[in-house]
Amino acid sequence: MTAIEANEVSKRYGTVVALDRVDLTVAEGEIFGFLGPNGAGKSTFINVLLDFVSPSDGSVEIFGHDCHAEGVAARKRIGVLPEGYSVFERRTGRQHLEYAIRSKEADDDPAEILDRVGLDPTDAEREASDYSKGMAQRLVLGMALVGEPDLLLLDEPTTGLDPNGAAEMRDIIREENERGATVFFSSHILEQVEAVCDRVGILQGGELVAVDTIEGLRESLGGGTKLVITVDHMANGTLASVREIQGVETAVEREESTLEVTCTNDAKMDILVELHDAGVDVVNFRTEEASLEDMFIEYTGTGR
Amino acid sequence: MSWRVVAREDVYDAVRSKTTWLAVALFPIAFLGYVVAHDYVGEPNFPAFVAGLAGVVGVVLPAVAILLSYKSIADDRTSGRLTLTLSLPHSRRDLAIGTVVGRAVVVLVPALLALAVAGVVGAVRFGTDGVLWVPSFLLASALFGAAFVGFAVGLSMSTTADRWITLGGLGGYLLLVTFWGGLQSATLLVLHRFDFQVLRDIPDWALLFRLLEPGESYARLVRAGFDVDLAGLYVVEGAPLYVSAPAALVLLVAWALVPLVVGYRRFRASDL
Repeated sequence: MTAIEANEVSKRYGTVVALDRVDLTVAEGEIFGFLGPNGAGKSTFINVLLDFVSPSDGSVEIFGHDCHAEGVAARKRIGVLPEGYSVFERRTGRQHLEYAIRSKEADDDPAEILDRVGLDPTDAEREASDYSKGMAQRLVLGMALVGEPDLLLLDEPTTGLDPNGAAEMRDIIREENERGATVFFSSHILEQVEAVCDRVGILQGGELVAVDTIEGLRESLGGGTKLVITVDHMANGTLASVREIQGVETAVEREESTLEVTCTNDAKMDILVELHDAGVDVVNFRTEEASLEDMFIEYTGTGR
Repeated sequence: MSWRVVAREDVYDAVRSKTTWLAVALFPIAFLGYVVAHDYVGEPNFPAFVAGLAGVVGVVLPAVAILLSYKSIADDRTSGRLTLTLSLPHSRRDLAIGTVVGRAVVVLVPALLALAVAGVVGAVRFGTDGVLWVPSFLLASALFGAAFVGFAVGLSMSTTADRWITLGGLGGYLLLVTFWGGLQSATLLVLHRFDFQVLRDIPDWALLFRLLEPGESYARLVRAGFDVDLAGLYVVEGAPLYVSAPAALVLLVAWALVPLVVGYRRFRASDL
C-alpha cells in the first residue's frame, strides 16, 4: 500500500505557480526527505496533503483516502508537525498533549510522550505560549506522535532546534520508522535529509526535479568528484572561469581562499591549469566524494 | 462527533480568558441593575418587569455575544492556532460546529444564570403573576443570544481581513439592534411619499419586515408568554400568520443558522 500518492498536483495563486504537476509516490515504511530551497513549494505541498489548501489541479491520497474529500479519514492515520502554527494560549504543554489525545481518541500517557520529546515535567506544567521556538517544536512533535500514527508528516521539523535537538529529532524519526511508521519530512537543510532518508525528492520552483535514493542521485552525477582546493588568493573572475571549464558542474568559494568544485574526473587537471593560468597559486588540494549538498546545489541552482 | 472535543476546548479556553469574564460580568450588572431600576421606570407588576428586562437583554446580550464570537475563528486562523487544530483529525465542519456550540455555552450560561437570578428577585419584589412563563422567557432569551453567536461565528469564518470583521461585528450590531426600526420607518415613509399616517397604521408586510429584526422576534416571543405591550403590534385582531409567535421562532433560528452556513461555505472553500 502506498502512504502518499500525488497525481499531477498543481497549485496556482493568480499567475504564480506554487506547485507544477507534482507526481509523487511514497511507499509505506519509507523515510522520505522532501528537499528544496525556501519558497520552492514544500509547504504548499504539505498543506495540500492536510487539506489546508485545495490544489488547482490533480489530487493527493493518503493511504487511499483523498485528502480533500476524505480529509478526516486521511488525517486520522497521520501525525503532523505543521509549519506556521502557533500553540494555544493559556494551556500548558501537558494540556496540549491531552487535547491531541482526545482528538485522536488515543490512550497515550502525556508524561511519557513529553519525556520522549525532551520536555521535562516542569516544562510540561508551564504555559506553552511561554515556550521557546525549539520547545514548541518539541511539543508539537509530541502531539504528532500521539496515537502511533502510520505516517508522520513533518514540515521543517528541525526549525528552532539546536544541533543536539536536531539529532534527537532524527533519533525519533528512526524509532518511529522502526515501529513501522512512514515518515515524510521536508527540509532545506541537507545533512538532516542525508542522515536519515531512504529516498529524497527535490523540489525547485514548484517542480519535482528529482526523486531518487541518495546513492541514485550520486550516480546520476556521473560519479562526480569534489575537489577542495586551497589557493594563496582568489583573483576576480577566477570562480567564473573555473565554471566555464568543460566537465565542471559547480564551483563555489567556501571560505577565504578555498574552492570547492564538483566535476567529472577528466576535468580535474583542466581546473588546476586554469588556476595556474589565472595567476592563482594552488597551496593544497584534495578530492572528496560529492555530498548531497553539492547535488542539491546542482539541482536547484542555489550556488552561494 | 469530534465537534465535542473542539467545543470543550473552546469553552475551556474562554473560561481562562479575562476578556470573557469582563464581558459576561455585564450580565449580572445589567440584569440585576434593572431589578432596582424597574422601580423608577415601570409598573410594579411581574409582566411589566419581564418586559423591561427583555428590553435590557435586547441591548446587552447581542453586544456580549458579538464581542465574544466575532473573531473566534478568524483570530485562530491568522495566528496559526487553527493550523494545529486542523492538523488533528477534525473537519472544518466539526470546527465550525464546535466553535459555535462552545461560544454559545460561554455566552448563554452566564446570561441565563443572571436572568434566572434577576427573575427570582423580580418575582419577590413585583409579585408572582405570570411567573410560570419564566422558563419560556429564558428559552426565548437563549435563542435570541444564539442568533447573535451564530451571526458572529459565521462572520468570523467568512474572512480573515481584520477590518471587515470589525466592520461586520459593529455594523451588525448597529443595524440589527439599533437602527432597524428607524430604517423600517424611513423605508415606509419613502414608499408612502412621507405620509406620516402610515407609521400609525403599519401595513401587514411591513410588520414582517420589522419582525426580521432579531430583537423584535425576541420581543414577539416574550409577548407570547406575558401580557406585555412590547410586541402589541403583532397581536392586534387580524394580524397575519407570518407575524405569529412561531414565525418569530423561525426567524430567530434563521438568524442563527443562515450567517453560519454562509460563513462556513466560504470557510470551507478557502485556503487557510
